[in-house]
Amino acid sequence: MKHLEKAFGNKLAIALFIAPALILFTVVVPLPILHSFYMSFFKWDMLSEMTYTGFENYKELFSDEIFISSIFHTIEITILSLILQVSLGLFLALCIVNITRGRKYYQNAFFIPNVLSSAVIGILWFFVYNYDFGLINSILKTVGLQSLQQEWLSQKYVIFALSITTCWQWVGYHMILYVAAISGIPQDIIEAAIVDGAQGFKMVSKIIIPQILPVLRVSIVLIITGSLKYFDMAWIMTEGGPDFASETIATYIYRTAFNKLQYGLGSAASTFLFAVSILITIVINKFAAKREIAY
Amino acid sequence: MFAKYIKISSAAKIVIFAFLTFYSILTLFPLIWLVYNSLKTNNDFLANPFGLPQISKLQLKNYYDAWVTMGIQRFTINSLIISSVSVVLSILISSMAAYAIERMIWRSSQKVLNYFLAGIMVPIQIILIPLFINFKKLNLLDSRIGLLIPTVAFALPTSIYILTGFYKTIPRELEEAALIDGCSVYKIFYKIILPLTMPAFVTIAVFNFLGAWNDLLIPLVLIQTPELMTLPVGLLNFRGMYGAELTKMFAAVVISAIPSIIIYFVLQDKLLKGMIAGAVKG
Repeated sequence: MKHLEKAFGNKLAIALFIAPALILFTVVVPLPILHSFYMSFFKWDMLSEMTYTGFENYKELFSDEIFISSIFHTIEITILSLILQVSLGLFLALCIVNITRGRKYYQNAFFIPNVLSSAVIGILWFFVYNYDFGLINSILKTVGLQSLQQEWLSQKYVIFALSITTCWQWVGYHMILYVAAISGIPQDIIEAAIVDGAQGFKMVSKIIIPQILPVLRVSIVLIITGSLKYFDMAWIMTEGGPDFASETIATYIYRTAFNKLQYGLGSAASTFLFAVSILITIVINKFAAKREIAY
Repeated sequence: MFAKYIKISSAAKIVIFAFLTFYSILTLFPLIWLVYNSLKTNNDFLANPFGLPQISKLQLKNYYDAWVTMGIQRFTINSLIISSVSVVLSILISSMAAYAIERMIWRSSQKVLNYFLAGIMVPIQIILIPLFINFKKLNLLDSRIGLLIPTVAFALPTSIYILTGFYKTIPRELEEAALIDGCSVYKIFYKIILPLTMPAFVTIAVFNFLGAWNDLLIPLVLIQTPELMTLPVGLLNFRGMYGAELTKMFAAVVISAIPSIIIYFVLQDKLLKGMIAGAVKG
């Protein structure tokens, strides 16, 4: 259809439709990334002159123990989140697909934390973990287990505590993805498996998990990318403390730039985070390519 | 549905129900604890953080104080403004872009789509320092416009992704017929496509509204005056100022959680459907 091509190939119309999104997006995302990369070669606090220092910022970054430890904390949170959210989410999903009564209630109950803002969740859990009047310690006291009371946001437990809160926030989301995937497994596959005698654990490991693998992969990707930029909970509950025990790459960037006004150093850390994200994206894309071949 | 063709013994069913019930209590109890403590006096809370409030001494005044005296009202209004305006803008801008990418005929359309989609992977921390510095130069710090720009921009990739998927499903015949009737591309988009896109718009609106409503990092960096703070930043500021009046702060936290929960219960089908579709396709 010639007139169709003429109307929908109208260059001016295309430009008018795409321009607002393209300009806004380019100005806010790719250009600042380049700007950040550029600034990572300068020392600057916004008050004095910007001075070019080459790779000085990167050297400083990787000799800063706090930054190195922030990388490890980010990795710890990623691993803990993967373990907690995937296993619990899968377990909850397997329970939920086997019931019909009350299903809606359970799904809502598990999902509700996910719609709350991190400010709400962070402040709430700060008080859940509080030593003197927190929920956990007061329950322990009520049931006579004072000996188990802890300073939950202490150096020893803080990463674990933060990961538990993040699990509380996100496990319902992953559970819902798994429930949708399990409900979408073709009936004949399940029936054939039952005829073959697949029951219980065997059914889960041999049939269900392989069948929902694509969704599992998506949820793992979401957890990894979410953990990589882990900021809100660490900042609200502990500000990266105590004594930087919960400093993540993201809180490090924020602190360096906006508390210490070391914009160059902060930009170097940002650039590092960006490089890691790119790397992970490439790895993920490789996975995705594999997936296309497999199906 | 799965449950129909898997046989589970009734003993196993009881175990499943017991576990689910236990875990749902575990999940909901922190929220319930927050709500009932927001109705206590500060001293009652400190004396017994676990106990229920006395009915005769319910402190509804905590809510009044948090809302009126301590400024949660203002933060809520700010959040409403930012979230609603950013939803309208992101829908408008992303639907135009998605239409151009999916329905118009030009060579680089897929490249442009991939360019936007790459934005989904970008952690927002990376762009905050340059954004802050440039906004300072442009006098956009501490302004609603300054806050809206990145909020809308970061909503674009997912919105465009959902909409291009949606536009794929609209049959070409509609546009062809309109074209023969003498409609221009602009008129086709405005009169035919936009009304058809309403269901997808609702999904995007819920997504982006909650995203803007819950966002902490962008307003934390870009807004410093309390007059313009959104709820999450306002709550943190509130904690800094009235940190000793815990039960009033609980009331403030409850107030700021209510809109999200209402939106969830009213539009949960839309929200969940969009989420599942997005994740399963992605």
